[in-house]
Amino acid sequence: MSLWVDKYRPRSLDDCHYHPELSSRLKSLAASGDFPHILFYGPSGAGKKTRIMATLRELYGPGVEKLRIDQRVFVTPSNRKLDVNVVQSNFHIELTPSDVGMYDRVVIQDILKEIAQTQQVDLNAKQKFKVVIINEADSLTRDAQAALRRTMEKYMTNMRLIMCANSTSKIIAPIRSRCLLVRVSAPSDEEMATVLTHVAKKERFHLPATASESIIEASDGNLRKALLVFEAMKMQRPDLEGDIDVARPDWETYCAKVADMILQEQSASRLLEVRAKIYELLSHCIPAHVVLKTIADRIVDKVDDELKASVVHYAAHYELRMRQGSKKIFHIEAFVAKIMSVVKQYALMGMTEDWE
Amino acid sequence: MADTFEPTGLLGFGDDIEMESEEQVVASPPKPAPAGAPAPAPRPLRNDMPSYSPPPFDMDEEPSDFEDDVQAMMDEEAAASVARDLRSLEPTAEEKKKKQEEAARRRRAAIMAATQPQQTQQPTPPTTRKTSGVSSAASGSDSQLPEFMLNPDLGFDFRPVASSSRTRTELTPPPDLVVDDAEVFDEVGRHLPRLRATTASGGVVMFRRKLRQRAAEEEIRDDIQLLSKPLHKLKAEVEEMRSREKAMELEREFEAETQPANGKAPAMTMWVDKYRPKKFSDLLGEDRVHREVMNWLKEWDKCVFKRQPLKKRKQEEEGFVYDPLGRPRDRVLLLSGPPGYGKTTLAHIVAKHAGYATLEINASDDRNAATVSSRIKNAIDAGSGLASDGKPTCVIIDEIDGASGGGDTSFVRSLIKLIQDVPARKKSNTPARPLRRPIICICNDLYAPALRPLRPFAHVVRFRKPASQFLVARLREICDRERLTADLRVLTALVDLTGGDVRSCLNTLQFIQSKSPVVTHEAIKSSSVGTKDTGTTLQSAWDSLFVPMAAKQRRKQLGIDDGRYVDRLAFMVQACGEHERLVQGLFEHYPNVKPLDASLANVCRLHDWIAYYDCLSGKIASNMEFELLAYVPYAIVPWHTHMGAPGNATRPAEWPKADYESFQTRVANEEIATSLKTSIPPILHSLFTSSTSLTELIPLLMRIISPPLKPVNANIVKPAERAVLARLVELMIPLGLQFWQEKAEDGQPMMRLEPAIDVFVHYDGKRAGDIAASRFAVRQLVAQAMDSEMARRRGQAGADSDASNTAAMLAQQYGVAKTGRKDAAAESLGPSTDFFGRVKAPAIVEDPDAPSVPTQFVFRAVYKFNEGSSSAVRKNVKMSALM
Repeated sequence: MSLWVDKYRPRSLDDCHYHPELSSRLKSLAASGDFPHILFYGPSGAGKKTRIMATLRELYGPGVEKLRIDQRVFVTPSNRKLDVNVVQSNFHIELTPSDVGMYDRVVIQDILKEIAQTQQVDLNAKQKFKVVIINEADSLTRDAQAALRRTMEKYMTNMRLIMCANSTSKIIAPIRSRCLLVRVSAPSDEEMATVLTHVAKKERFHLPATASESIIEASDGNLRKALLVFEAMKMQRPDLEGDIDVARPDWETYCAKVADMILQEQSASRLLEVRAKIYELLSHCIPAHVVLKTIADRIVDKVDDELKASVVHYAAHYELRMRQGSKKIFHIEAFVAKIMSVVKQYALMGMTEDWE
Repeated sequence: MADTFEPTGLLGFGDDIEMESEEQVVASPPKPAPAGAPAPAPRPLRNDMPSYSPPPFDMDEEPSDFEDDVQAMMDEEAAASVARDLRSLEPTAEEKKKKQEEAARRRRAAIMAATQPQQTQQPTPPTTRKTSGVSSAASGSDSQLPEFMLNPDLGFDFRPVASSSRTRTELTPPPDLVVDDAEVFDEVGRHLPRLRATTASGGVVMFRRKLRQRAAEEEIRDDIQLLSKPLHKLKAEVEEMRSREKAMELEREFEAETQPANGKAPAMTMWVDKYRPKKFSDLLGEDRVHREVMNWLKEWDKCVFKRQPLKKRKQEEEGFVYDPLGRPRDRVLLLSGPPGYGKTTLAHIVAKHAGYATLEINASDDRNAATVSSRIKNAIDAGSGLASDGKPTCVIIDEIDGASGGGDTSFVRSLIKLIQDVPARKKSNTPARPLRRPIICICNDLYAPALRPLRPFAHVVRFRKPASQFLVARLREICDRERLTADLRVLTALVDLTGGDVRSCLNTLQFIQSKSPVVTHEAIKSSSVGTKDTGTTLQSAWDSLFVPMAAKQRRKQLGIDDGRYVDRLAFMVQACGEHERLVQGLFEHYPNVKPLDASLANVCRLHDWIAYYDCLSGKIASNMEFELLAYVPYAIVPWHTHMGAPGNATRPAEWPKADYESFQTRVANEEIATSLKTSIPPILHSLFTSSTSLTELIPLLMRIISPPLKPVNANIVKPAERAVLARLVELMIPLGLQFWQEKAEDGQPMMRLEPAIDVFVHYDGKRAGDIAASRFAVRQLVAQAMDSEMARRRGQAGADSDASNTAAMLAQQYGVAKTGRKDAAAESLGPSTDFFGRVKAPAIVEDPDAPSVPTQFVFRAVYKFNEGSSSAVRKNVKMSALM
């Protein structure tokens, strides 16, 4: 018994509700016996992980589904011990570099060598190689990526890499060129509606169209989130009829509140209030760039058309700075101040700043 | 008596005698008569002494007045050293009253000597003379300084070498070089053979031994003078002598005034020592502090001097502890304050004032536990020897914050033991000798870790900056005495610059005085910048970045008002050092200030600088590029450009804490998220990354597990609600979520969710509006349901082979499950119920009816389950296959 996200996750490539052509390609890849390194990329909640697991099942059979969490200890060159939880089956192992922060290179090197140097023990296994899945590959540091380059070629006989990332822009070119790039795009609204209806059918209740629409709208192409929202709504209001509120994560609501505050008043004191709210968000472990993006989204929704472009521009501008710098709050506040300035100027003089 | 003679080595000049004579020509003030000129009237005296007839090669045979001769003889003994100046002759001039009589006596003696010339010569012990070079000339000549050289007017720039060589040849005392055949005998009549030397050119030179004059003879000679001099000359001489004495007296007076401690101190003492306060009333700084210290020391009087304090203290004072020895409650005084505020001076003066001899132990001494017993204890018990003058000893431990070492053997620890009268050896039955003398400790940093154990036992006195005007007045006085021109404004600036450090002020002034007689702003700036590198506190850095210096203050401090601030502020930021905290403080405070340009555009421009700073510091931290550190102050100074305004003075920056608080909360929350992640099934672990589990999973999961249940008895809930409850239980168990009963802070029982992921739906301390309030009763209901489910699962996993029991349970389970979710019930049906909360095979999920055995059918199934692992082949077996 599990959450719907897990319960109605397609187990095989055939079960996937959308991107059938991708499924068939993956299937033939798995069958060909010439399986490459693959880099899956695409927006969050599009179904990358689901497809990875389905492909693994295609490769190894249902044994891949038997997952266990192992706690591994790695020793950094500076003799620090790192405890890492590693999800693995008999046939594959999953790494999440963001768990170990700046020491990801050590972990990657250790694990890859270990996997690469041991051959598949199970003689009945369909494949000679094991698979290493690297989640959030775009958060790999440059060092770790560089460490991957040679390993990927050298240990090709014993190991395949499957990486999972939101975008390829942070993956260094040598790695990109060694991988088969597979883009998993977000499902369209119709596709999402199909999935939601399927789940409702399996759960034996009727999903009203209005509820479906509002869920799809709130989840923004993120099917994982849509399913969670769906389940939350079902749990809270079992009938799902009529005009219902979509369950939103709290931080989203909070970000929207912050955006409204910015648009209501533009002053130094308001800046101080906004800062307190942003600190609240950050202390709830919401990533800073997510905060910035969500606020920017909300502001774009609210402001006049003439300002939309500059809001987006500044959001990008300050997010870049944030990624270059180290102190997140400075840059979020800089963004807020800039937006306040732009909005105020527009309100007073009816003109936009020339930001080019 | 006789000097060793070095014959050849020193006669490097071939004919050094000639050289001497040359010098003499240059320097001797009285006009030398040509060689061989007839001697003046007193000359017969010399003629009586044939042994002293000038040597043939000695050319400076000039006549000099008789007085010279006599005076030189008189001075022979005093003039032993080469570098002799007027002042060093002072001892002869010291007896002012006797001066004239002495002169008269001398003359009388001279007369006598003249009348008995043989007498004078014969008994004198002969001395060898070095004739070589300047040294010989000097040593020979010094013994025969003419009197005019004592005369301040004539003698200031006299050259001993020259004058001596002149006098030597003609004076009655034996000349250095003699080649005549006269033999010299010492006073006991021994024969003194002539000395032989070779010049560099190979010539042989013979020297006669010199006879040392004795005082008696000098006096005799002196007396002769009296007659040989006209009265008016004598009178003038006396007059001169008097004026000289007067001048010396004045000089001494001045010196005694400026150097009261040791009147004879050399001219170049440090002003700090020269003008160190000598009396209690001389002390600079707060009187209150001085009196406090004095009072504390006086409290020891009863113990040390066995006398009652003059002023009866109220014995029943608050916190008064009776001490049988009459000691004060805190047996140690701890003076603390920045350097240069006069702590050490105060301690010494107060101790002296209260009648103690002091024993100072400072950083230059070895300070360990042994010091306490060897030096301090001994000094206290025995007094510090003869120097103490019978006074009791007060120990002053200077710079105690520098005493290193921790543990039981450290200096401070053993000092505490001493204070607390702890016996040195634990086992010994003899009680410790109690502390009977005051101890004063001095430190800069009161909160130094080394002092932590001492503080509770010490009477702490904090020093504050001496009031500026008093310090300036004192500096002014010193400047006047040192003939240094300084106006009050400059001195005030100096005091401000040094932060009231008296020592630093005095050193700076003395340094300036060595260069110029006038103290100017420039001089202070150039000599003080960098001398006191105390560092800026964060608070003052914030203030000076937000509040521009008033023009007046600027003029006062820097002397020039050119409106420049970048260098000054950059220097200050650099001195402050803690860039990160500095910027954090600025950042947290800036929306509160009122800059001159209050527009948001100004804020945006400032933010460009903040971003620049952040970029720099990020690079420095991550890539260790410390060369970039030099630019950091310039990235901070623009805060002043954009935010500085005079009005900000009323809104001082506060210590930044928001960022740190937020960081701490984040760390705590991350911990919660991690604990959730370790408890959820692996597939969820891999489906949700660390960020998506925070942004998606946890907030929505909280909604999923908080259905609007009503807190009623489990037996009477509606079927729909029961279904919800069952589903909830099914969800929470594999996710590792549990409710624990706890007592809240107010004593109310509460059910706590574990892991406490509900923090993620609480913003601003409030729960999100769309989540139903999770009441205690509801949570309790859920917790009960979970407990029973867990118990049931345990029972199943325990492999109870009792089929009827199983059937009953299945029936019960089915009854529950029937109402809502068949598949849910079905899933938990088989004996292989997902023990680890693992995902069931989809086939079972998809087809709920197949495995569910109808309850009406009574069956018996017996199977044996061997717990543990086995290497046997595993195969999936359905129950139907066993039936």
